[in-house]
This record gives sequence, structure tokens and C-alpha cells, in this order.
Amino acid sequence: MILNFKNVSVAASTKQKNWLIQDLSFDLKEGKNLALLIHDERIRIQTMKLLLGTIKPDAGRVIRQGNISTPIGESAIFHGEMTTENNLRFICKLYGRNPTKVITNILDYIENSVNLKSKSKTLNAVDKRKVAMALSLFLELDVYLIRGDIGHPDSHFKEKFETDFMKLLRTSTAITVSTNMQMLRTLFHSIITIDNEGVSTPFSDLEKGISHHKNTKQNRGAPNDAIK
Amino acid sequence: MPAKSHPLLIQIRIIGALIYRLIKSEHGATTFSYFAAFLKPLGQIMMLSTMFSVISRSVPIGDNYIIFLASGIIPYHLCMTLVSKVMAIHKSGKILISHPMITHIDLSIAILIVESSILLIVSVFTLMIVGFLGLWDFRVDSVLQILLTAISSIAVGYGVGLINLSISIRLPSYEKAWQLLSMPLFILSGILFTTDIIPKAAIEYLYYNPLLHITESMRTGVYRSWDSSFTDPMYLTKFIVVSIFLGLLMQKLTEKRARA
Repeated sequence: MILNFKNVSVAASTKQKNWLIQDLSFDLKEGKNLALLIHDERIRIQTMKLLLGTIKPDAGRVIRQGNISTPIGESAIFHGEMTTENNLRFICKLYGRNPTKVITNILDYIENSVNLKSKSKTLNAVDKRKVAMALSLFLELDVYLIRGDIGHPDSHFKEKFETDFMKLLRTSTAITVSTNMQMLRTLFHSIITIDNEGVSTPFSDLEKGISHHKNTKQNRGAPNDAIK
Repeated sequence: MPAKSHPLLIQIRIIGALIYRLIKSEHGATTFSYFAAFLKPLGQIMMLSTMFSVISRSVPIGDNYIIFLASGIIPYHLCMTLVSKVMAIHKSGKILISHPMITHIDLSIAILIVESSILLIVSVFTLMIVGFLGLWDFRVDSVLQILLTAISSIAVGYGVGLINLSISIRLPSYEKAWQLLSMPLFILSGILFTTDIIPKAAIEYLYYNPLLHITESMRTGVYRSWDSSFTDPMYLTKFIVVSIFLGLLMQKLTEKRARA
């Protein structure tokens, strides 16, 4: 058990008890990649924040025992005024990894295509994403979060990353809030759908979960008046 | 899954990483920023002492304005810089806080360590520069008292900083209000005078300003010929304990709101 949600509920606001998420329970087991399928954008953001530990649930508990990554490929934590190498060094220290080793590995992996010695703000978004994706491969964390997808504009790098990420997932676990069906079918083992009322339904069968998700989308009645 | 490490070890590791980042980003960004940290208290002391020697008022204690002002400005700076840095966490550290490994308290401890070590080094250097210029002799009354004062001003700064952090999370306009509130503190903290010249009626109110106790206690440590009749270590200790307790408690209570 590395990540455990116990009857987690999140209220829409502090004043009215209008639940965004109701009684969400799951147990993330090692090697069993889990996808959370959510229609409502607000619920998706709150779920992501719960996973990241940025917010605490209004009821229930979230127990996180392993090292959890930031969403793959995201480099918001990079400080613009610091060199990219120092930024990487900081993240390695944060997770207790050997910075020099990780940085050499990353440089090998991205084939020296990015200058790590320059300030982070001088990097373009594509290079930054490349570095951040390569970094997540070498940190050897327990849980990887995926938001959106794991693509990259550089097709050579993308293929290389996808095969290595598959290898990595033998020892680590991935969890996503993405609705990229192609990625879901290749990487994930089980699904939990959360509808607009915040009620969750677990599925161990991928196709059943995906079709349930599509049905709830079609059956949606009047637009949720909470979203404005 | 790697072996679990002790929570305390993880926290120490995270604080260490944050210290590395704070040093690299806040102060290491440009070479001038370390100079600026040195120049601020030094410049303030020099400017005020020149101003006072031009006006040619007599020095309240001793015969040298520079050391009189330095003994007031240094602890004041220690405290107020920490207050403003800790208070600014929820703005400056927004991205850091959204990382799964980092909490407010980690960041505040890292800031406490980094800022107070920079400020202490700056203070020692300021005093040494003033000393080498021949403006005061190094034979102070009690080094222990000076150290104790420095530590208590750091503790007051951290405690008040945490309280302010929690208030400014709930009331965003508090930050501006604090800037206004803290302006008269420079005057009220006894940097420009000693409490000997203040009337009894005013002392009753000024008694509740911990910075005034700190300044007086610093001067007691520096001057051999002068002891403050005002400074009350018991009040200072009570203030530190209560403010740090309140600060940590309020931080815990506002944590949820801060991270949303």
C-alpha cells in the first residue's frame, strides 16, 4: 500500500455542504496503475490537489506512504533565476537522490541537446518539458502522477521515453486524471469513474469503465449550475 | 518500494533541499544581492550617525553615535527582516507549497535558518568594520548577553512572522496594514534614545513592545558603564513562548485555507 484514500469527501465550498467528491475510497497497490475518469473540470482539479497533498479532504483520510512525483513533464517548480542544473539538484535533494548521478543520467538521456548550465528562464517550453520528463525517469519514485498525457513534440524522444516509462512502471505505479483513452488502454489496469455528483464507481475492467464514463457523459441532464 | 525512512529524517532532508534552493535563488541570483544584505544595516547606521553628528546632539550613552545606533539597529533588523520574510511565504512560496513533498512549516524553518544566519553574519561584519575603523573598542560588557539578545530577537521575529502569515492568509489586506503598523516601530523601539529620558506615563505603554526590551538588553550587553533599568527578561521570554505557540497554532488552523 503506497497511496490510500479512505472515504474521502471534498465540499464545494465551506458554506454549503455540496459535495464535489463523495466517499471516494481506493487502495493504490504497487504495479496496479489506476485511472480516475472525471467529467467535471472542477472535480478533476480538486482530485489532482488531493493526490498532490495541496488540499486536505473535508472528511475521510488520504494516506500517502511513498514518494509521490509532481505531474510528469511539469516544470513549474523550476526557478527561472537558477540554472537548470541547480534546479535539478534541488529536486534530487528533495527526494534524497544523488544529484550528480541523476544529472549525468539525464544529460546522457537527452543526448546533450539542452544546455543545463544556463538559467532556467532561458529554456523554451519544449526543452524544459524534455528535461522534466527525463528527470522523472531517474528519480525512482513510488507513485507517478500523469496529467494530460506523456507526449513530447520531439518524436524520437517521445518513443524513447514511452518505452523506458513502461519499463519503469514495472517497479513503480502510475495514477492519472487524464482522459486520453489511447494511453489509458496501454498503461492502466483499473478505472474509477467519478460523475458530476461526486459519486465514484470502481471498475476492474477497462472497457466497462470507459463505456460507463461515456454513458454518464451522454446522460448528463441539465448543466451543473455550480460551474460558472 | 524502498525502505521507509524516519519522518524526521525526511523533514531534515526536505529542509536541507529548501535551504539550498533559497540560497541559490533569493541571494545567489545576482552577485549584488549579498552586497545589498550587507549594505542595508551598514548604510542605515552610517547615515543616521552622520545626521546626528551634524545636528550635534549629545549621545545618550558613551561618546560615539555609531555604536549607539548599531546596537539598536542590528537586533531590530534581525527581527523585522524575519517577520517580513516569513510573512511573505504564502506569496513567494506558492509554487513550492504545491509540491507534494513540501509544507508551509518546512519552508518557514528553511527561511528561518537561511535568513537568520545571513543576518547574524552581516551583524558581526558590520560591528567588525565599525571596530576596525576605530570607532569603538571590541571590549564589550557581555558577549553572552549580546548572543542571548540576538537569539531572542530571532525568536520574536519568527513567532510574529508566523502569526502575521496566518492573519494575512485570512485577510489579504493585512499585509498593507502591517507595513503601516510597523512604521512607527522603528521610532518606538528605542533605536534613537534610551528609556531613561522617557516619562513614566509613556513607559507603561512602551513596556509591551518587545523590541524595546531587545534594544535595551543589547545595549546592556555592549556598554560596560550602563545597565538598563527597563529591560525585563521575563516579559521577553513570555512574549516569545506565547507568540511562537500562537503562530504555530494559527498556522495549523489556516493551513487548509492557505493551500486551496
